[in-house]
Amino acid sequence: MNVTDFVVDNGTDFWISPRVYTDQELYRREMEQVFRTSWVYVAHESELTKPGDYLTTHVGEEPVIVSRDDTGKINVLVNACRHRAAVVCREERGNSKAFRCPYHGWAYRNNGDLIGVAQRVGAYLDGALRNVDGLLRAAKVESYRGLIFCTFDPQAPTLIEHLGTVRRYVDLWADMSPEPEGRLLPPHRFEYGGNWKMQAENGADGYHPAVLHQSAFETLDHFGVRSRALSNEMLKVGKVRGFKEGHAILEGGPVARLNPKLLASYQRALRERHDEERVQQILLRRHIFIFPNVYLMDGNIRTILPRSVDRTEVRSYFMELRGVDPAINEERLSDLQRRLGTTGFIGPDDLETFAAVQTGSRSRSLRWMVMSRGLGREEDLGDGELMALPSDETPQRAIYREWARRVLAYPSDRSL
Amino acid sequence: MTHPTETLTHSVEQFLYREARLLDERALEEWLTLFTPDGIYFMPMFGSSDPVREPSVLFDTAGTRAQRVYQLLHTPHYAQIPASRTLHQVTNIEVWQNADETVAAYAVTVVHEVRPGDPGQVSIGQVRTIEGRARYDLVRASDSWLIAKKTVELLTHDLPVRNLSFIF
Repeated sequence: MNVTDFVVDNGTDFWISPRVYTDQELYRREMEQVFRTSWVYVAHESELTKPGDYLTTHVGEEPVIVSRDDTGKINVLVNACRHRAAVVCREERGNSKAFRCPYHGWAYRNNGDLIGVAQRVGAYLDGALRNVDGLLRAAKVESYRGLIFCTFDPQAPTLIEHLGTVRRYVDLWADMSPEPEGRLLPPHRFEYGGNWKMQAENGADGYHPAVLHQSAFETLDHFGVRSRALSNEMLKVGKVRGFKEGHAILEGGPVARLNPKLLASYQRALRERHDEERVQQILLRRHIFIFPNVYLMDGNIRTILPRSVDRTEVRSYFMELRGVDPAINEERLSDLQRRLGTTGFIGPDDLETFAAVQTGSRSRSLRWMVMSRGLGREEDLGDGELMALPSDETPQRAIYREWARRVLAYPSDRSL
Repeated sequence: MTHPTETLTHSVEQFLYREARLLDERALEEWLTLFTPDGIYFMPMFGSSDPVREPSVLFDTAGTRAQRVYQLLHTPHYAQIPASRTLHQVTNIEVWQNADETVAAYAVTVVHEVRPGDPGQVSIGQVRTIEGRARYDLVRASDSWLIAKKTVELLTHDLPVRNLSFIF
């Protein structure tokens, strides 16, 4: 399996093989070399406010419990009993001091420590359980601005190093909430019949909305909402960015489509804490992709959960701002839900496109997908950050370069 | 709340069947006229949720309902190309009459849905079944009814859904 079978990156062309969406061996490597060794977003601190709060999710396909233990520390525990592998927690969220395996009753504290083996006395030779002291856990867990990430690689760099220069945009995103940090509400949940990387590419794709989302624009324009004008405005002032760590950004347009009175109230709340230049930066709408599995968007956090090579779950969590008029959050929620909710005017069209891409990727004839758009007009801002026009494929190239580096030992310092 | 007469129950049942048929025939502009001007269509994500402050599967007032129908009928809405073919099955109807002549009707709605075409394409040609429990708050309108509020809790209300771009 050679990187040249899947990637062409020669300065003029950037091509990716459609087999990246269908190949089982690549998918297996992704679970190992992306989702275990990269930092992966798992939860937001506002979902775990009290000691004992927990939620279950997946890191790649690894089932995990994210818990706040009795000391207040966040743990990412492997949700598999050390005895015979059954998940020790089936609830998606709750509060508990302990997790007890339903099969033979082994029990673990909410920090993962093994606290009980049923009928233990006399059953094991001395030292037989010496290495079994609790649930397995992520090698490292770190939070940044309320966002909890973990990695299973003890050699991984720090989270701050993984974020790199995208961190200053994460700060702008988090500063949307005048009082830190925002609060996540339960997610809109979707499933689509396609590979997980399609959602990763799509959220920072400024090329598709004018075509794929024409339907939503026509509808809203018909009812006087001027959405197409907003979208065109975004394309005019917008930018895309790609980062050497695989992160990406689509930006432009106003952050919150609020009525003028609420917008003024929101701006006042921001100006109490930030200078005018920063307020304007915060108000610029961004979709920030943090490699490999999370988008920080203007109203929400969107996470990507691979289920198999051709099946993916997406969760979109509305983020409530703190320190604002409640009417602002109501209008933001209504806007988000109408656009990207389960039955939104925009989101379902994206997910249906992924199904179309999955079907087309079965082609044996189609050797390459073309992601060369904008090569040659990117601006190098240093520290591995490239900036280009909003319809350019700089974000997709950043994502696939990092992907190829991890999965196919793509040399990050030279072209192919 | 009291048990209504058989005649009244029958007329509510006929009204719900008519709604189901209009949806199946994609007579969506006519479907819009089944609601009162301030009528609500609500699909909660959690039973008791507040649609203004908490996310829901769908929360439509007359304005957003009209937008939804316009998008389905008059724009190139990719999630509906090809458009869903549906059978709305309405069963377990239970009618309660309020003191003020309004009615609350409960029903189980099962929608069989397929997007016709080549089953070799992902998401096309597979019949799906989507289930929900509905509550209709109805008001009298001459010889029939109008929907003041339609609430549908999907069986999978808090689970991932695939392409819910037709009207349930």
